[in-house]
Amino acid sequence: VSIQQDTNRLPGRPAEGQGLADILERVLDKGIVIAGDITINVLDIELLTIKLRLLIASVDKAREMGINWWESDPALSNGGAKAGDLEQRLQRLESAAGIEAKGKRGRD
Amino acid sequence: VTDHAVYVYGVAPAGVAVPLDTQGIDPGSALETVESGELVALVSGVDEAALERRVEDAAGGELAAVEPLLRAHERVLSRAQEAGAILPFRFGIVVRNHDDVRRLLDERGADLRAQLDRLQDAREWGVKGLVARDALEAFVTRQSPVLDELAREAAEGTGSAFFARKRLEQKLDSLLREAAADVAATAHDRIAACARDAAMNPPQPRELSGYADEMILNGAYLVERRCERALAAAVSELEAEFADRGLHLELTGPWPPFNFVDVSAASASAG
Repeated sequence: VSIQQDTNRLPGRPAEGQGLADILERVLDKGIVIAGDITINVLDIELLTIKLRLLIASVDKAREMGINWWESDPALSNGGAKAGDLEQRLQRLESAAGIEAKGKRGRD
Repeated sequence: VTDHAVYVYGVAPAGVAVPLDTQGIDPGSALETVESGELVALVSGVDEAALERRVEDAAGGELAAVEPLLRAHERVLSRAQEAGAILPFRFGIVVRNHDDVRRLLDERGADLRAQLDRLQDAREWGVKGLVARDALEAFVTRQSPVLDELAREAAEGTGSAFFARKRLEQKLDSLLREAAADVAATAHDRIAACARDAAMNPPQPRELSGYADEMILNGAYLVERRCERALAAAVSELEAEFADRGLHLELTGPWPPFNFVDVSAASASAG
């Protein structure tokens, strides 16, 4: 009996694509970030990260739990001049994802 | 192609024989190690422009464009962990060449080494808690006679039945939420007792988790290898103990210790 067959007996087990959510929340949301002139900026990776975070936990759900990753993450919020740009892109994403932006996002 | 850059997966202590037989993010580029000081970085060549296109497509809605890359990033680090401690980098860290990798290892060496020390002899495990709503509802109903009263009121054909039904819904909802939070907190604390460090992440939404049942716990635990049996035992015990509440726990791992690296420390001295 393979592990696969074993796990298929578990209640509520996802049929396929299992583990993708676990991988997304780790490789895009955690792990060492190297910022600065040593690294090459892969364009749009911040956008991708934010988008996938919205997938992992919807904005409302995240806020409900007191989580605002995109505001507290040093990799994203230290952007300085880029913060406004990021904000706009996030809003576009939210509306594209059908998520109503409720009020203004708190910032400091 | 001239724009060949170097993709960095993570860092291990020098001297660890990191396995290089895993396929990285680019099938055409084999894994390599770059060593400096007491550290070794796990890297592979990457066509930066091609990576950028994939990320762009993914950001535009084609998640499938990066899924294999995300999986490869995790797979390389998981395999590396079989040889010893590994410090996982976030997806998408690219530098120009091997010299820059060495520069990175030298400039951040102290912090990276300190973090590796904290991860020694331990691995990350995930525990997801799912509850079957009908079982939890049955439990809550047994525990709270007030629900029966409200249900009887709601069943009456009178004008107040409508409001009784509303109150019943609200009461049931809050009791379910309390019960779920109680189970999640107890499970997290009990599992964390087996761990060197613990983190509670937001439960994954159904659309992504693929589970029919609601996720109430999404924990990550840094567990010493000698304590892994205790972890598995704690998970089984909890599941048995909360069977009357429809709890199912799923243990995943071992994972590279993504949840237990200090992101800010390494990025603080940027540039």
